[in-house]
Amino acid sequence: MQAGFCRLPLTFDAPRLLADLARISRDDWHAHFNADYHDGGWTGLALRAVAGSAVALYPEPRPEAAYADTPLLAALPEFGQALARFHCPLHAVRLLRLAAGSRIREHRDYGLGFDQGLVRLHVPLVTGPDVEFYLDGERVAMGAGECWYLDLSRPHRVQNNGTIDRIHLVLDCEVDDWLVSHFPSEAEGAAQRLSPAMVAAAAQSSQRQFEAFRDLVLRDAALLAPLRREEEPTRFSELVVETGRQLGFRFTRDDVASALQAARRAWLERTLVS
Amino acid sequence: MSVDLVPLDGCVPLRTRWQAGEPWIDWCHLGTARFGEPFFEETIGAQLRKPANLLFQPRTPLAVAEAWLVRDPPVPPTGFVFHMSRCGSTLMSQMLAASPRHVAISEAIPIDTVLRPDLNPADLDDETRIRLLRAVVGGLGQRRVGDEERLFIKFDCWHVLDLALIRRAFPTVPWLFLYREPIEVLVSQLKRRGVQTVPGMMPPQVFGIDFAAAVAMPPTDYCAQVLAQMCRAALVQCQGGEGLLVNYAELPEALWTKVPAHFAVDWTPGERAAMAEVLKVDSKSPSFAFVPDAEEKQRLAPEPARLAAARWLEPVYRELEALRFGVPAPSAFASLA
Repeated sequence: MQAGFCRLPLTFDAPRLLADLARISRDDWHAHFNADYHDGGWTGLALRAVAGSAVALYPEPRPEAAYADTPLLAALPEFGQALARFHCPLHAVRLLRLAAGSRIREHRDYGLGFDQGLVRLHVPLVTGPDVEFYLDGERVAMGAGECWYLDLSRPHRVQNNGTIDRIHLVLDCEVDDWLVSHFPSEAEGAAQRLSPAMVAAAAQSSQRQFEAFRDLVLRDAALLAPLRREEEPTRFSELVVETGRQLGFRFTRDDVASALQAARRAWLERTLVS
Repeated sequence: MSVDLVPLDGCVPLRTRWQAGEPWIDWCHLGTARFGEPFFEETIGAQLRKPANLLFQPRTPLAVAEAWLVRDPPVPPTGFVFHMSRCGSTLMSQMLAASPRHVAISEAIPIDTVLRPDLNPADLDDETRIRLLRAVVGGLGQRRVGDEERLFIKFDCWHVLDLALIRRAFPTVPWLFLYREPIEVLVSQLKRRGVQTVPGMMPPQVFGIDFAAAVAMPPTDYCAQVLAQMCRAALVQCQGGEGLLVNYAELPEALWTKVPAHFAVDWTPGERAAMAEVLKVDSKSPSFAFVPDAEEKQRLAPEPARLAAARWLEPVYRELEALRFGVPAPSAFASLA
């Protein structure tokens, strides 16, 4: 289970689930709880939540018994059937919508992991090539209707560069024998990471664009000098993005923030025994 | 990647690492900043608060770094300082750093990444390690300001175990070993552990000690054995007659006499005055005044520390002292009396 992500052998009929979802009005989507890490375009619906909780979207670590189906799930029969296919105990289950043009800044989610007995699965319902999900600096390309495990205790971020909202079904699952039996072996996992879809997604990612820009800058003292003079972090990031844009590179402040964070980690972890 | 494609001006090595089986050097831009802080990582850490230094760290294969150093020859090393830890080495490097024409490097991370066995392939040959070490030392001795004339390098204490290899890399550079009364060093280590004395922090293989044996013995004994290994390595190298032995008790006078003589340099009156200023503060925490503590360390030594020092450290310490004074070493049985 060392890989940061892998696809599980479960597929869902995304169009059918979306048809079910059409019963819900747009107003029912609540602003997602974690306002520090996104830019306002992140909303969600709770399908299973802590009963009576005022912040139903907030998946606190609690015993499974504290979680219950919400009235909303009762109104969505297709989702009820989809959830029934998970034979492991389910904690929080949510629909998360990331609006077109929005992003979720790099962060880690704690309290999740095989060692903690609780893992988070994602089932994309609406997605596309313009949605870029990065885990630990690697792009993870997830298709609609697929089911993915992601180790979200590692740094991750999302940007929706597309024109439609991204919608994922997100399930917090208790680790039991049923769940473990659905994980691919090491060899299957490795093959999947090298799938053509993954390679293609990585090649056209904005992070790849940033890395190409960085390589160029490191060979050009004239480009480096003004960037080294700017020491205020926000203005620096803007200057990097703008310098890249003028040279024809398409990447975002999030790509810059993620690379800065990786460099900070490399420095802070320099004394750890590898 | 050709040398023309990497502007390394004003950069210093940050670390060495292996990429697809090849040695690489990562660099950090330092501009004209001096290595004034007590330790290399403090100087670098301050630079890494600038976002550009985090985001844009040049990376070069070893051969590119070598070519660049041929094009812009650095200051060659003037003298090397080895030590057993907690014995005045930071005071010495801070005094050497007090002159503006000196570059004094204290415990550089990239030197450690070259020498540490646990950070390199097990089959790394000496020739490649020597090339890497020369490139890193060259990078550290780069003339970034323009008026640098001398380069002093104080190594991490465990690097004395690599002294033979370091001398092969720099056969003409004079070196010294600094050491101190065993119980004073041991008490200091027990009060505030250096990474080298904790098996989980630094692999015992660095000191030729088996991991299982390291964690099985009392921590005080492991600490004493590690210190003894370093002293023993220095003793073996010093018996060739090239190294200078300096005892903590000789500081600071040795900085006015035998140390500059051994390094074949002298200090101007201004440099001497600047070095004397350093004596007033605590070398590792320059914002605090220096307080002598040898007597207190002797007084506070717990019994297990006394026993460990007597068993593991006293014999090699006496041999070092005998060599320093040019008298025959006491017999091995003397320590059992």
